[in-house]
Amino acid sequence: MTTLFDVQLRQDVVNLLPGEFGASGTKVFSTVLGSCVAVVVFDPVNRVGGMNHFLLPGSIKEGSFYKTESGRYGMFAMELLINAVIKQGGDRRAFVAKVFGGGSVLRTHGFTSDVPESNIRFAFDYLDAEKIPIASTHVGGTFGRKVYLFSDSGRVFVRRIVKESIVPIETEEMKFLEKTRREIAAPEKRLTLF
Amino acid sequence: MKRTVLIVDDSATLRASVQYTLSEQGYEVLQAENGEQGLEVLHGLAGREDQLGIIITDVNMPGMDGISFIRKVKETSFKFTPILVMTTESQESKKGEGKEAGASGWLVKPFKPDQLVGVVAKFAS
Repeated sequence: MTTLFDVQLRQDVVNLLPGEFGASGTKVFSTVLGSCVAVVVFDPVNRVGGMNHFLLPGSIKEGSFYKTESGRYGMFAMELLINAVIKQGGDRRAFVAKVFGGGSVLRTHGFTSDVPESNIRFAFDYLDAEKIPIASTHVGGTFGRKVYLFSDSGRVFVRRIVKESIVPIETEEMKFLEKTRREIAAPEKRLTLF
Repeated sequence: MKRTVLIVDDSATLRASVQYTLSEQGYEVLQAENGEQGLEVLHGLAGREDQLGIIITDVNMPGMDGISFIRKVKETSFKFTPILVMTTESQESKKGEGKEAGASGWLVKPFKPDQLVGVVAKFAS
């Protein structure tokens, strides 16, 4: 997570890399998406919000994502975001969501070709199961996206990324996908007994 | 082996996931969305303390959080029932709070279903 001054917006912007998430009531967050998905969660009553950036490696069956390892990993990504927004003062009963990304831009060497669709479906299914209404979406297609979230208002700006600029995003996402697969295959020791 | 488990978590998908994993192993899974609801479920189970093998609870929940819930459980007739905290929180200070409140174990998400099944079997035996 790096914060840079954005010349066009004339303010600091916190950039989220694959696997990262952030929440605030004042900051602007941005992230660049190829096949990855970003979910925004915003509480319009308390005016706090956040965004994550994830990519699940496997196919996820409709409506039963919690039965798959990829789906459970996605639940973890969503829970980190939701907890972060709650810690900023958000109330999950007021949450609305926005979903972005899942473009078919990733070269799927060794992976199933439905990765982007699967990720979009996961986001929709998860939000439906958690009863968090979706206010807007910008998903699919064959292009990348740069997404800006203004966490004080929940407003989101999306900019399309042209094909020529997609190669570095693709490289970054492939690395992230490999890392996620390793983490899912061999999670750290996570149990402490008292 | 005590075959009943109580899961207390505000996430519907997390509860569904635990229900799916443990039902496959033959456990009856009771669900609650937060600490207050968890205590209500326990109240309804009063007199059948020997059937409840383990209580699994999240930490961050609206209303009564997981740590306060554990403290309350320790004041009931279920004070000897093992409590497993299941959370995204991995800081040692948080774990210390759980231990002090009376939790028996701390499981950090994401984990493999086998890990959950293993720890539940250990406590519920």
